[in-house]
Amino acid sequence: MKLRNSTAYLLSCLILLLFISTESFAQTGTIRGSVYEKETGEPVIFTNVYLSGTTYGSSSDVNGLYVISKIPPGQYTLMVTYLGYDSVSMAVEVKADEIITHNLYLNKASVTLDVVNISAERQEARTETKTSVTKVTPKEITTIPSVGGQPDLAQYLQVVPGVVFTGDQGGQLYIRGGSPIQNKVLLDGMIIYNPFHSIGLFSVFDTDILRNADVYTGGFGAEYGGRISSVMDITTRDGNKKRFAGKVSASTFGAKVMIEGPMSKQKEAGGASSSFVFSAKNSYLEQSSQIFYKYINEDGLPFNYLDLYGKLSFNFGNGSKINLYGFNFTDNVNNYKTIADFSWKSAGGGTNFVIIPAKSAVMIGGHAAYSKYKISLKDNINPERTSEISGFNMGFDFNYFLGRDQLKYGIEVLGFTTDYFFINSVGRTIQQKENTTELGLYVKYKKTAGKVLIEPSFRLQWYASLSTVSPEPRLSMKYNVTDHFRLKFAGGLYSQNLISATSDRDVVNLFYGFLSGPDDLPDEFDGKPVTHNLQKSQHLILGAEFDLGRFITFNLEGYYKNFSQLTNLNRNKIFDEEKAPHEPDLLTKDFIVEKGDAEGIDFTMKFDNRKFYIWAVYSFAYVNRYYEDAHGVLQHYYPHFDRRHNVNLLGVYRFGGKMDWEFSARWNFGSGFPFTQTQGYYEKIDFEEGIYTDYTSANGELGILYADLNAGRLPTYHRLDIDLKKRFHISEHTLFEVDVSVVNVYNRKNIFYVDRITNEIVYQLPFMPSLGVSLAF
Amino acid sequence: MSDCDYRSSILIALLMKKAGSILLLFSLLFTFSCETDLEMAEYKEISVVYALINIKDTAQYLRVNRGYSTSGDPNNFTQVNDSINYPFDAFDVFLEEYNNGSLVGDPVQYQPIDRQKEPGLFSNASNCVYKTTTPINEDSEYKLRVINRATGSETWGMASVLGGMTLEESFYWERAFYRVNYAAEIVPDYVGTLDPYDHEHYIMRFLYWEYAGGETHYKYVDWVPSMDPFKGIADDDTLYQLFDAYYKYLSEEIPVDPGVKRRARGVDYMLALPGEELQYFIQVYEQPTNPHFFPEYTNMHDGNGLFGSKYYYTYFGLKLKMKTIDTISWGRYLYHHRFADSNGEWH
Repeated sequence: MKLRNSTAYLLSCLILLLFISTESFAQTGTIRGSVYEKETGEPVIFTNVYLSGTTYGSSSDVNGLYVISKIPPGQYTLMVTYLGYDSVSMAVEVKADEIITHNLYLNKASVTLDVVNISAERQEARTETKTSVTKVTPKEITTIPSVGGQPDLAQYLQVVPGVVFTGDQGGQLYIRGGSPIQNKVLLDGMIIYNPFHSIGLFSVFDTDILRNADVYTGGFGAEYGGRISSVMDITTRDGNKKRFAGKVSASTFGAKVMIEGPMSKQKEAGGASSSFVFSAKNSYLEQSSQIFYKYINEDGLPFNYLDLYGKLSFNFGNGSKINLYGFNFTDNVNNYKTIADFSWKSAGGGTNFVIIPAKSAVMIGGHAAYSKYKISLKDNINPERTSEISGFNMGFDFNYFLGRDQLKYGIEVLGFTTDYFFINSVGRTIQQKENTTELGLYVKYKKTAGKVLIEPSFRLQWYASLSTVSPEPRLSMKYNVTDHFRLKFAGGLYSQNLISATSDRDVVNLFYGFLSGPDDLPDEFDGKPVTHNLQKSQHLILGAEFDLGRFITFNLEGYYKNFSQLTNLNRNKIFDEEKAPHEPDLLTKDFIVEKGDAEGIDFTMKFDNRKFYIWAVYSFAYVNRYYEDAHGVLQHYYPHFDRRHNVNLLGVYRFGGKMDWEFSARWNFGSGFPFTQTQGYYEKIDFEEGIYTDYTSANGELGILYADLNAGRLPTYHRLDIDLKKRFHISEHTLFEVDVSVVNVYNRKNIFYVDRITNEIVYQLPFMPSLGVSLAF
Repeated sequence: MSDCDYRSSILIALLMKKAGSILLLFSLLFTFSCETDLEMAEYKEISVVYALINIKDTAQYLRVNRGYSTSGDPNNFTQVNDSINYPFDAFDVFLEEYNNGSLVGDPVQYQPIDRQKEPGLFSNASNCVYKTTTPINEDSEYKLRVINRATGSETWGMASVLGGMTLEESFYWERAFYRVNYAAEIVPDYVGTLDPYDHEHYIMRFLYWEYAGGETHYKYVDWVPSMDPFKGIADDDTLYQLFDAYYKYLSEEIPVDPGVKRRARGVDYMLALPGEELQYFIQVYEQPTNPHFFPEYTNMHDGNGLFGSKYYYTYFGLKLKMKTIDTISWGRYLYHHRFADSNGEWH
């Protein structure tokens, strides 16, 4: 598509959307407001707010905001219910053409109401399409056995259906056939380029400041763009608006501190307020492992990180709010196995806000952020390589509540610079410095028609550096067959520009760098011309949910992701393209085109009551990749993260008079990952003396003969982790917690990779006990 | 008792004591922990062939070794002769000449010979190599066929022959002034298929006579340039620096001796060019490896190794230009070394 035409097209769409925002809705009234926890002033999210005795209702969003619109004038009772809180009700009068604001404050309940909780979740299941999305809150994160006494999002994500985790040390998360570069991670709307530390048990996010994480494993809506597999949308909570509070904790892995409090106290309920929250966490595993885990590695585990995060929140009486935040995450590994020096640093800041105009039914959200990420790796044998990406992203979202329907649209602009330097295995320097701009427009409409929820959306993504526009229609649907049985569907088209600085064929690679899509891809792939330089995919997801009784929910989803074009770093490049123009693309290009697909079934069973929580996930999946060999013939291989069977069993048992004891266990079973077997060894003449080498009499070095790419399978993986927590309620606001956990209880020797030089097997984490304590005040 | 046996015995003991089902499950899992055998690739016979052809050589050689498989430390098998070597005369080796894709003449068969192998990581108990004295033609392409007599399996590869090269004159240097020297670009007369800028290696051997005590001695100094003047050095400054370094090097290697007179004689130019297969092989394998990934290059089909060509030749006694002789005699580095100028006189 010509650039000029596409720009004009985008502008037309934007103008059209802005016109829509001026539309008014008459003859009915609207109730809106925020739901807060009374004690801290923190928004209560995803809770049901409804008019008693009617079908009018809504649930609060991630900011605690709710809107119930298109209500006929009259007297109603506004009610809100949520787990662990007393229900609140109030009489309201709705008048035609009026928008009234009611903020709701929930008190913590003295008795936990299982039934209410279940009802709220069920209600949400019926009113939201929720296909291929897992909502994660700190409550869920703290239920799983925590490694090192520190519950972490990275550990919880491993039990999310469709997620495959490749290793404890330097492993990465692969979501339904997508590699990490194809997963977009947002923190309060800001793009986070590397969310996980090099010891894969920890993310950069402090669990104590998280409010919610939506993990879309596929089929996500048009509000998200620029990635072809999955999205993790993470929101942090505001600081305590009522009092100074905090938490300090320490474990055998690391320590952290979190403080929060009001900057200006709320003078009256529903009034303006401002607060802060600051978090710092670090790892001293390099030092502590010398004492506690010397049996794992004689020289310790030199994984270091320091994560700093701060946020200021300003809330206005009508529900409008603005947040300012900044972060600085660092990670480094020194002298560990083949790594001489590895580090990355990520820093940035931004703002997000919600504006609720007094006379309009629209809710306007927005964000603007800048972040920078730099990674460098120097190992014992290869030259240093570096990758840097820095850029901004900003956007506006407009949200209308039209009774039970909802219209959302918005615009997003991204600009970033990638700077990459790498010397590949045959000494060829690959260097790229590129400025890129992306513009995305989207519109999404949620229609509730009886038992059917339908959510079509459309995104137009413009990649300036590639002069390409990608139109991406998407659709999500749910059919409530009965109150206890629901069918759902999601699908769409997706594209992305960013490519990874590592190859999908690298089993272990900490070097998580970024490049902009190259413009010198091979001209042809699979017998067809390569017409664009984007990576593209199409998703199709079908699912069913079934509630069995009050406490058990089953979820079954089948998915198919077609990665119609992928760009991969060329591991086979051995010729300089200019000097060997007659050689095939596979041997000369820096990047090659591949394609692939992923298909599978995820089955989830959840049981949740006051004493027991059981979460069982079984995933069956195939991930395929195809590349052209030197003769132009399409070759198939399984990428190293293709896991056929994956089982996660999580059980939590709460006991004690005050339910202040908690025992949890997680067992993970995974069938073997593919790997390239060693076909054999041989005497290799390396021609060290060049042309003068007398190869007829030389005594060579050990050479390796490879079998077919990833044709072998590692042994099955399984591991049991357990955790025992005890909480001591010292005073109303003071809670002391002791956490004893054991990773790999039965010391399963799970293979991480094999050192081909010695045939030595490198294992993942062995039996590893840890102790953590925390004090919240 | 091994670790696994020990765990198994714990399991049995627990069963005998009728431990609770949770404990039993736990114990079963505990037992699983030792089952981490790695699935090995199915064994496949792989011949590893190394052969180079050179139009300047009177004999061409080929070496073939055996790949071996093990689940243990591969270094433990390097001294096992049978693992790495085939028996003497285990192969029929043929060299076929092609011109414009057509076979020329009959295939030439290599003959097996014994050759002493250097001691090292691998066994040198026996070393059978194959040899042919057939002339190699520079405009042809060659196919090497290595056929295992016992199994009939064939390993083969193709290589283009590196063409000839002629150097008729020595290097051209600008007229010399006292204690100053200049240089200009050198353009060799080159004929061949390889980019002349890809010289792997060359040596300039400076030849001179030395007169002392009524005797004449033939002497030389070898110089391996830090830069190849053939590699398209564009600016005079760089070329000047190169040859400035050359004169300086000569002045350091040749001692200043007032009792000695010298006369520049010429230059031997020792040229070593790898064919493109050999060049790529060297480039790939000189790169570092890591435990997960190794660079690979082979042009042998149904096997491994290399079949390529090289051009290894020395041009003897290339004459020096008059201006060069004056530079040596009067230039700032060799002025005190008492070299005769282009008129045959000493200053």
